[in-house]
Amino acid sequence: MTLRILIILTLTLLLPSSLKAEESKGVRPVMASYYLKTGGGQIIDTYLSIIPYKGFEIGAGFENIRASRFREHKWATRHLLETEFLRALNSRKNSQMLSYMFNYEFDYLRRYTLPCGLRLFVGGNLVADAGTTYTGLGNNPAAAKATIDLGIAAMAMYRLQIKNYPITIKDNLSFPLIGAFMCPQFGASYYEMFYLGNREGLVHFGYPGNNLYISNMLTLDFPVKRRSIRIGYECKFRSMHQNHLVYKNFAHEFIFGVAINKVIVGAKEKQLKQEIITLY
Amino acid sequence: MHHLKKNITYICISLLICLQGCISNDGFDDSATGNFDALWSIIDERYCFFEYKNIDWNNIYSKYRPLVNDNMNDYDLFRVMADMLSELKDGHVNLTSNFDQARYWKWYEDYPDNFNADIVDRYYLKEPHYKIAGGMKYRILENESIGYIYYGSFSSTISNANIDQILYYFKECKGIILDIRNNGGGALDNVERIVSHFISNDIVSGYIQHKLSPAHNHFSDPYPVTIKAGDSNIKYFGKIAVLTNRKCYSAANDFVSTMKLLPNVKIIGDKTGGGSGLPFSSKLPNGWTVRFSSSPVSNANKENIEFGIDPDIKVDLEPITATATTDAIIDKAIEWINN
Repeated sequence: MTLRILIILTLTLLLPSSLKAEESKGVRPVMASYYLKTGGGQIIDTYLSIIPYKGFEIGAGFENIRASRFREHKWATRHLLETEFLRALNSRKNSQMLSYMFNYEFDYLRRYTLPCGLRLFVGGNLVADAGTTYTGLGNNPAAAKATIDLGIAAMAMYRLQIKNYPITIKDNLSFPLIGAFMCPQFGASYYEMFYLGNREGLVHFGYPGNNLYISNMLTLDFPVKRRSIRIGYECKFRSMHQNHLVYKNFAHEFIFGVAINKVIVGAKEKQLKQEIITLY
Repeated sequence: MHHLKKNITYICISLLICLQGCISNDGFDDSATGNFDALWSIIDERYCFFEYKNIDWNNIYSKYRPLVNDNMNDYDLFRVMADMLSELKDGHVNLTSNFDQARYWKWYEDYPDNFNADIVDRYYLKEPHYKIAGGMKYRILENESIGYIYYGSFSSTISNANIDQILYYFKECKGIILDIRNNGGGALDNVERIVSHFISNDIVSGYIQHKLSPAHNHFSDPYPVTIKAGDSNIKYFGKIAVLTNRKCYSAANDFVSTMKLLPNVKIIGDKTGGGSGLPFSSKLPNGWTVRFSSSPVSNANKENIEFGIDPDIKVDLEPITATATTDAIIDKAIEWINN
């Protein structure tokens, strides 16, 4: 069953090359956005400390969604780059854990347009998530995190018209299913793994039972002249259970940024003067 | 409109899926009993010498847990926890709060010092006429063709260039005294860097293991700790006397265990303090830090060296008097090198 899912996801991700023959020289709508985010986070990493920490998270992101040239823009790719820094404290606020994560997500999505105007995009994705947690304690001051997964991605877009003012509502859900991730053995030290070279049992096959990652981002774009102001909310949950170790990192953040609608004509990218062709 | 409602429902469901991620603390609350249980549990799951030291940790719980209640203050709780940890008889086990540090130091407190820094500085290093490189004090002993090095902590980073310079300075010497008395340990890479200047081929200095699960005796296979000889360093293959006392602990203990493998080396002085477990640390709900031995390191014969290493030549200093000008352990090392 797992192998079948892997094959389907791989084929989905490789689809662009198989459809090249149908590529036209038409325009290609692009939605790009840059944003900052801030909010709260909770973290526990029992390799470093058995207690949970809560704190303040800041981050930044870049999102680029491009429609396909072929099949009337029925396919779209989405690249998402995000980075997050969390400073969390224990309940007495006399001990801290820091977390720095870097996340890249590539989605390949099929568009479905419902009669009401709602556009649903569904497909597969590739997610790479890496970073570190840090307490600064003795011989186990930090723990590296690295996962790479294939999974499912979904996006919904709706253009809400309030009088003559359009607001674009977008929601993205990412749910990786299988992949590989790094987790040391229960008591293995980084000295033994990386100085002496004993890396046995460091990389594991991941599935939602031992390596769960869910990300959901809801945004609202308010057009202002040729750009849009983006506000939104993102929640992200990472969880890992392996080798009797537990890692959980949960964050919910508010997003504030700028979204730009462009088109690619041939090889050139242009910003829209008028919203003739967009993703929504 | 009907479809818009469906869309909003979808968004809400997605959000709820994400919001289910609440993070609990496995039942250890920030009360006196919660902190005690957290400490006991951390040691129970992660400490590595229960079997070697024949400790029944459940019995220890039964002994100390009744002494804890949620009305006691932090000072009393700390004392009970410190007493419980002292049952492990391990210098690598500490509990640190912002008002005290619990420790077990009987591995040297119950034995003679066998070291006086004033005598060494004044009558052997001839202060201020000695050099310092990377935390090592050194000079050629007066009226002898013997190099003397005092290295007081493996936490003092020493580079290959430092060691090259010292060994070059001793190039005419017929032997070297490497005095690590009172060296309480530090970084293992400093151990390996120093040893690499005294070997011509790679050697296995010992073996390390780690726990695979919370079970007391579930360990990985021993993994060799290999020290690489390197090929660009200045080497020294003459006689080397390593001076030890009870305060040689942790990384210093590993250093002695490794140097003892070399045929041109004699360990002179007192037994080392031990400390062969690589320590890890964790936090309690109240923010106190607990340190504990996590990965056992054995010697090249896979023997446990947690309780120290006997010297090749046992020498104790006479009780230090105000008029003392000699160090019997250094003098013994000089005699061994000269003979």
